[in-house]
Parts: sequence; structure tokens; C-alpha cells
Amino acid sequence: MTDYLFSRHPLENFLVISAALFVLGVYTIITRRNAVSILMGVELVLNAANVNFVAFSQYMPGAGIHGSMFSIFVILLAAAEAAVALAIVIGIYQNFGRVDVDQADLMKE
Amino acid sequence: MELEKLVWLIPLLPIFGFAVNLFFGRFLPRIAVNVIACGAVLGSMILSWVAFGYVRHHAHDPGFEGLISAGLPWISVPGTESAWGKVLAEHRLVIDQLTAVMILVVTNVGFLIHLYSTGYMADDKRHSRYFSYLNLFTGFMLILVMASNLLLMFVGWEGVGLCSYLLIGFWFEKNENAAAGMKAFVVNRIGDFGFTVGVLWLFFYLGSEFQVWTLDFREIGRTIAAHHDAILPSVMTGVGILLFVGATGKSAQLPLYTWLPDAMAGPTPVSALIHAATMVTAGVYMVARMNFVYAMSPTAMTVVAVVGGLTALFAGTIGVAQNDIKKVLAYSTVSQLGFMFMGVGVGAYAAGIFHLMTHAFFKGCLFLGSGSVIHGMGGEQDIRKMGGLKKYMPITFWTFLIASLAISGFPLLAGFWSKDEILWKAFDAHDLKIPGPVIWSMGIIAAGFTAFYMTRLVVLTFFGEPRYAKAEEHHDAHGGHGHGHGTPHESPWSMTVPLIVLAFLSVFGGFIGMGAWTGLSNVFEGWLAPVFGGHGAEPHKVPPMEYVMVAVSVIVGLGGILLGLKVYLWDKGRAAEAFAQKARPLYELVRDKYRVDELYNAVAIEPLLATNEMLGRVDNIVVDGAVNGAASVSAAVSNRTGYFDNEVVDGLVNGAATATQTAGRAARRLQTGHIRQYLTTALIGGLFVIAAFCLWLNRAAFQGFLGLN
Amino acid sequence: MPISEILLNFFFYLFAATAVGGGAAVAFSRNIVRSAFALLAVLFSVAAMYAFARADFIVAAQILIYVGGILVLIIFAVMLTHKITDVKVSNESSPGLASACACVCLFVLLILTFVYAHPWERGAKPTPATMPAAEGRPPLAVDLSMTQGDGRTGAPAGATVLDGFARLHVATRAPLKGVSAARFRIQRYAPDASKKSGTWKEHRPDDPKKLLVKVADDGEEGRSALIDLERLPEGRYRWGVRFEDEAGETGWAEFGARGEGLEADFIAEKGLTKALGRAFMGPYLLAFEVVSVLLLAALVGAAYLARKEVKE
Repeated sequence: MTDYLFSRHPLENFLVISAALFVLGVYTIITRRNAVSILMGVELVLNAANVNFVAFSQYMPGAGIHGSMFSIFVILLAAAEAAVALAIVIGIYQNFGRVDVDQADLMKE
Repeated sequence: MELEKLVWLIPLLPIFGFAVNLFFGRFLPRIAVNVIACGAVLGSMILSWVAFGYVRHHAHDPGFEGLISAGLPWISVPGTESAWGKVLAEHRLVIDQLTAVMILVVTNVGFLIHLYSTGYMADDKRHSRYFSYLNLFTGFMLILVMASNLLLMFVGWEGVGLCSYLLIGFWFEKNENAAAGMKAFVVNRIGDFGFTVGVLWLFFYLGSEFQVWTLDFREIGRTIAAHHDAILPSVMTGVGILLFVGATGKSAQLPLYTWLPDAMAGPTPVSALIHAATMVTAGVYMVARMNFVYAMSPTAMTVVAVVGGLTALFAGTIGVAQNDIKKVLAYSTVSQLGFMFMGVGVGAYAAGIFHLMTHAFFKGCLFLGSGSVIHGMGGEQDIRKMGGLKKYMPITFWTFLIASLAISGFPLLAGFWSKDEILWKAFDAHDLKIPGPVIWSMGIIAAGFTAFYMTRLVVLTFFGEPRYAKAEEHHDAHGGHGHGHGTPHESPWSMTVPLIVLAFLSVFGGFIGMGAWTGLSNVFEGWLAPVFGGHGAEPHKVPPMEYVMVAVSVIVGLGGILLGLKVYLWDKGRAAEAFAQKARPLYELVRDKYRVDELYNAVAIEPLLATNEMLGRVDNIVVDGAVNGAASVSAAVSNRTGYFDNEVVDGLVNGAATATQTAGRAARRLQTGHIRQYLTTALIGGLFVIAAFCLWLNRAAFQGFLGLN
Repeated sequence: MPISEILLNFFFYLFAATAVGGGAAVAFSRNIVRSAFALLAVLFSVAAMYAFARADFIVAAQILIYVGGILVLIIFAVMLTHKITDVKVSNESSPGLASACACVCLFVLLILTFVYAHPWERGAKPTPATMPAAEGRPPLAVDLSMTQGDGRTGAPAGATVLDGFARLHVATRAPLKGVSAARFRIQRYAPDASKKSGTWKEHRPDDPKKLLVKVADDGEEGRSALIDLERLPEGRYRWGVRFEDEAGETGWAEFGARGEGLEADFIAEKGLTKALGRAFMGPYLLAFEVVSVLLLAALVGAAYLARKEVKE
């Protein structure tokens, strides 16, 4: 084997990390009452997915460039989505004075 | 067209005439109806003579069985060749010597009577209907005598019964006429039951014993002849008696004769044709046709002869005390039919048929004459109200006189020959269960009575002073006539010509059947010999007894005439009156026809009606009860059902609505408005999906992992 | 193990722990500001993960966009949605048994499925090839395969080998006598100036002797030989191999199908950036433009949504 700076970590390491991040993000989403916290959870989830994509892209012989491309796009879209979502949250705060999702039940039947 | 196909025209022409007159007669002028009706019968008559000629020509051909028409199979049971794969009955007519005689009688006498009817029924308002019925009758009668098998004959048998009913009750506006028609039909039917049973018994007996399943006359005859020794006499006796029961009904013998006197309610030509010349003789024809059955059973023959004799005697006594001209003739007919049965009963089939023929002549003449009298008297039928008609109706008088002399057995007239033959054969019969002379004695006494009451009839009707001063007020009892007129008048030519012809035949028609004692051959008997399996009546050695018999019957006949003359003509009936007064009960009994009808009424009819009534009431109660009960039950059931339906169905519908509401309310609670809950739910749902996907993806690995493989 | 490896492992696990711990802080912290800064740690750690996966461009993208954009936005939002007077900015959570169980189940499921149950095949699939007959030697069937530089990730025909590290491998199917050396031949595609077509030129690595290696004896499995190529210049490459011994040489066995078109057995790339850039200008061009439009829309929308209502 030649000596080079190629990671010899098995793919599974990345997968475990990504799974953990994903689950923590999901937990954040369903547990938190603050809207911004929920958005933070969303970012966690997206990042976990990204890790997965990139890992597969780099490690699997047939994946090619597409995994990395996808993760680029995910990043871009996360940005757009975060902007819009936070704008909404701020709008809610301006209208209702609070961002507790449990109290945002005007649509309740 | 060959003669075989033409044969069918003989019965079909009158039937065709019936159809035309039935449907179109209303729209045709009377003359056209007359022409159609008489023309049809005339056509049949001509064809009958042609057929007769043919039969006469071929009579001595070996194996000749008659002029056999073209036929169609009628009843056959296909597919079962074993016993039933035959044609059981065919639509086929056969004219042998016997049938030839019959069709000649039917068509000739029938034609004369049709002609007579054109005059007699000229003013009737249902003129065409009458002629259609008359034609239909003629057609059926011809089918009856021409049929080749028992079933087709039975068709004719029933057909003439139907027409008899229709014609007796022709003037049904009067209830008693309709009732008379009904009585005739019902009594006939009772006889027909016996007939049917007899036919079936014979059929099954021959079929099961000898595997000959047939209803054809000739085949039955051949079978019986072939198995002569194997046939049970008891079966033949039973069959013979049952068939004779049918003949009893049809030919008005004891005890089923009661319909015939009542049948005089019909128009007189009807009485002449049906109840003197043709229909009532069907029984005699049937017995003659089934001679092979009777020949096997002396018992049956005895029964036939005895019944015939008793009937002759019985009816003869009644005829003495009757006052309606037609009733006298009716009882006379019953009596003469008894003579005919006496003849065939003792085995003298030819003699019986001969008497049938001569009787058609003189009785037909007598009836038509009585019709002429009634017509001339404006509807009067009671002879006590007649008298002295001979100068007003000469033709009627002379023909009537000739015919009554014939029936009384006046020497050399037709009746003399035929009656004599029967009486001699009866005396000479030795195969019967009772001695021949016994039967003979019944016959001779009846002959005496016949002569007596016929003379009485003639004298009271035509001789003496007119007793009809009150005749004009008497409305016609026979309808149709409207003219109350003072003087009786002779009838038109359409009525007198047949009288003359029949009288002529009454005189000269007997010579073809002269008895062997004259030394001349009996043409009639010889003609019919092949049918009856006998040999021609060649002049055999005539036993002296026969001469004695002839003398006795002549004496009795003349004696009866003289007695009648003395009592009624020279004595003006005073002796009769005195006798009637002295023996009033007896007289009344006889006059009331021995109250047989009343007896039947009391014994049979009344209980039947009472049973009817009771059953009707029971039926009413039970049926009404059942219906009402059913109605109330169904009402109750429907009530319950409706209630149930309401509750359940409504309950279901309402319940569905309520369930939906409840479900909706429950489901609404899902929409809490809490986002987190939505997310949680989504996550858990998504979890399941992911789990399924993962498991599916790695099913093999998981199974290995969990050690399930 | 060399020290570099130990260090690499240590840092990998360190950053992994930071990522997961930061995620836990995001999930469980009661203070939202702490959550936000934990998110920062997570994002940075994930960037480090990308680095360990040798996705250089994505590292940069992550830090620039996520940390520098999104996280800033989130912190702004945190600040803007609390009253100024709040001393303790609280971040309540409503933990529930259901959610906890669900999450645990999910984690277990994911691990079981994608880590244990499903082996990710990274190995190289051998491609059968034939050394044609030459000089009295019959044709010889061999298996050729290519892997990425680490030897574990196989590279199919036409793959992009990263950083130009490739390993070429040849193996016979049966034991073979009289073969001692294998010679590899590398060809590089050189497009000419007109760009219409190019030619395949032979490529010599820095050390030409590298192309001639000894054939190893694998016993029953036959004979095999391999070479490692490092830092290949960028381009498209084709390769072949033959056996040589004292008696003579076999014919050349080619790895891929040869035709008139531009079929490369592998493509050496210098780094991810170039590859991504090539892809952006290639297959993903439309998506790239659409995303830019989307970002514009998001920008406008967010600006509108978050504006302060002018209260009269």
C-alpha cells in the first residue's frame, strides 16, 4: 500500500454519524416548542443527509459525482428554506408576540 | 284423386258446411244456408253411394277388408319398439260392408231430414246456427261409423253427443229445453264412462297378454281370433258389458234412457235424425262392430239381449199412456232400440243392423210426420187436442199411416221383415245364459204394445172429430212459429217430399232383408256376412218353428192394431177411459213413466245436490276462513315487518349517520392545531414506511441476522 | 501504525464526537442560545467530516453557506423572537415517551439496516479479458480490475479516480507456469488543438520501472500482479497488461472495449472541485440555474415576509 492521505475509515463510520445526527434532529423537531429550535432541528437533519450523500459519493465505486452534487444542492436549498422559514417565524412573532408552537393553534378545529 | 282420399270428404263435407254456416251463415240469405247445408250432405250421400259401389265391387276379393282411406298416424309412442312402438291409433276411415250400410243410412236419411228442416225451421231466428249444428252432427256421425279404430269412433261418439246437446237445447230460451239438453249430455256421459273403461281394459288386456297394443277394430278382431283359446272369457265379458254400458247411455236403454223422452224438447227434425235414425243407433253399431268381443262371451251377449228386451217391453208399456205425440214416438224409439239390442245380443248382428235401417225409415217418417202435424197445428203437440186431421193433411196422414203400419209389423212392410228376423233369432238363440224363448217373449209382448200404441196414436191424431177448438189460443210450444191459425194445413213440399220418400222406403226397403223362410236369400245378411265372420244366409233348412214364429208375430201385430182400432176408433176411447179410471194408480204410474225420473232424482240427483250444497258451504267456510285468516295473518305479519323494517332500517340509516358523525367528531380531534403533534405523527408514520423499506431491502440479511433461516 | 494515521483517527473521532454532542445539545438544551451555538459546533464538525471524506469543495461550501449564512440567520431569529427583557431565554421542550421511543427505534433501525445488514460492496469487480496469442503462446484469459487508490473502492470502467490514485490489477484464473513479469501499458488521451479528435499517447509515469512488476504467485488461485499509480495528471486513461518471461511475451490484454470513440478506462481528476464544476456546466446546468432563481425568490419572499408592519 502506498502511503497517502486517503482516509481509510470505513464507510460505516460516516453512516453511523449521519444516523445519529439525523435522529437527534428528528427528536429536536418533534419535541421542541420554540419554532426556531425546530428549524435548528431541520438543519441537523439536512446535514445528516448531506453527510450520507457525500460519504456514499466518495466511497462507492458506482456513485460518481452525483452524490456530491446533490449535497451541494441540499446546502443551497437549506439556505433558501431557512431564510423563508425564519422570515415566517419573525412574522409570527410580530403578530402574536410569541413563537411557541404549542400555542399556535388558531387553525384548530 | 283416388278413392282413398275421397273417402275423407264424406265426413268432411258436412263439417265444412258446418264451418261455413257457423261463421257466415248470419250474413247469407236463408236460401244460401239451406243450399250449403243440404248440399254438403248431398255430396256426402253421393260419395257414400260411390263408396258403396266400390265395396260391392270388391266385396269378394280375398282379404278385402273394406275401402281403406288414406290415414295419418295419430298416437304412436316412438322409441319404444318393444311393446309400444306401434301406431296405436290412426286417423283413418274404413268402409266395409257394415260401414257402407251405416253411411248410406246416415247420409240418405240425413239428407231428407236436412231438406225437411229447410221447411220446418224456415222462420227460426237462428236458422243458420241450426243448420251448422245439423251438419256438424252429420259429420261426426259419419266419423263414428267410418272410424277404423276405437279412439276415432269415440271422437265421433262424443261429437254426436255434443251436437245432440246443442240441438236439443236449441230453443234454450225456455229453461226446460236447456235442461233437457243438459240431461241428455250428462246421462250420455255416464254411459261413456263405462265405455271408456271397457276400451281401456280391452286395450291393456290384449297388450299385456298378447303384446298387441292396438285400438284398431280389425286388428283386435284378428288378435282375438288368433288367440281364441287363450283369451279369458271373463275379460271379454267384462269388456263387453262395459262397452254395452256406453251403448246404454248413447242408445237410451235401461237404465240410462231417461234423456230421450226429454230430448223431444228439440226441434222435430232433430228428433227424427238424431233420436230415431242415427245417433241412438250408434250403440247398436258399436256392439255390432265389436262382435268379436261379444262372440267370446255368452254372458255379455245375454246381458245385452236381456237389457234390450226389458227396455223394449218397459218403454212399450209407457208409450201406451203418453199424450204428447213426440213422447209416444220417443218411447217407441226406446222400445225399438231395445229390439235392435235384442238382435245383436243374441248374435243376430245382421238382423239388428237391418232393423236399425228399417227403423230409420219408418221412425224417421213418423217423426217428420209428427213435425208436420205440429207445424200444421201451429205448435200443438198434445194428441188429445188433435183429431180428424186426415182431411187437412193428407200426405202427412198417409205417410204417417204407412210408417206406423211398418213399425207395427204389418206384413210385407219393412218393419215386418226386420222385426221378424230379430224375434226368430231371439227364439232360436241357444248360446245364451237364458233360454232364447224368454227373450223372445219380451220381444213379442213389446211388439204387441208397439202395434197398440201406434194405432192409438194414429187414430187420436188423424181420425175422429177435431178436438182442437182451443188450439188457436195455444201458443206454439216449439217456438219459431207465430201463426195462430184456425185450420191445420198441410206442410210445404220441403217437408212432405221427405215424408213420401221415407214412406216409400218403409214399404219397399225391407225386401232386401227377407228372412230365409221365404226361400229367398237374405241379401242384407249376405252382404254383411263377411263382417260378422259368418257365412251368407244361404237358404238353409228352415225349421218349422220359424214359420210358427212368423205367424205368431203377425198375429200379435195385427192383433195389436185391431185392439187399438177397437179401443180408440170404434169405441172412441171410452174403454180406455174406463180402464184408466178403474186402475187409476196403475194408469198414473204408467203415464208418469213409472216415475223413473223422480226415482233417479230422489236417489241420485237430490243427494248429489245436497252434497254439493253442503260441500259448498264447507268450502265457503273453510275457504273464506282461510282467506280471511290469511288476510289477517298477512296483515299482522306485515305490521310486524313494517315495524321491524322501520326500526331496523331506520336504525341502520340513522346509525350510519350517527356513526359517521361520531367518527367525524373523533377524527376531528386529530386536528389539534398542534404542529408538533402533526410532526410526531408524521414521523411515526414515516418510521413505519422506512422500517418496511429497510426490512424489505435487507430481508435476507435480517432473517440471517435474527437466525430465522 | 504511523503517527499520521493515529492522528487522523483521533481527529476523526474527535470531530465525530463534537458533531454528535453538539446535536445532543441542540436537542436537549434548555437555553436556546446554547442550542444555537451547539448548532455551530455541529456544522463545523460536519465540515470536518467532509474533509475526512476528501470532499474538499463541500467543506468550503458547508462552512461558507451553513455557518456563515444559515447559522447567522438562526441566531438573528433567536434574538429577534425574544423580548429584550428576557434574561433567561428559555427553550422549552415537551419530551414525550412516544417521540423518544420513536427516535430510538429509528436510530436502531437505521443502524441495523444500513450498517450491519447491508454490506456495501466496495470491492472491485474483475473484468474478464484475453491476452491474445503471440509467438507460439496460446491465448490467455485473465481478469483485470481497477480500484481507487486505497485499494478498497473498486473503480468500474470509466470511473473517476480521485486525485489520480489508481491501482491496476491483473489476475489469471488458473495456475500458470513460465510467467515471471507483467508489464502494464498506460495511454493518455491527448486532444489536439482542433478539438475534433485526439490520440492516445503512451503515458510514462515518473518512474518507468513502475510499469514492470513481478508476478505474484497466489498458489491455486493463479498468478496476479498490480501496480499503483499516484498523482496521475488529469485526463482520460486507458490501460493494458501483458505477461513477460524469458520465453517471450503475451499479447496485450485491454481493460475496456476499444473503439473509435473516446472511451476512457478511467478518468483522473485532481480534485472534487473540478469535477463538480464540470458537472455544473454539464448535466446539472439547468438545475444550477433553477436554484439560482429559487434563491432569488426566497430572498424576495423572506424580505417581504419579515418586514415590519407599519403600525398606524
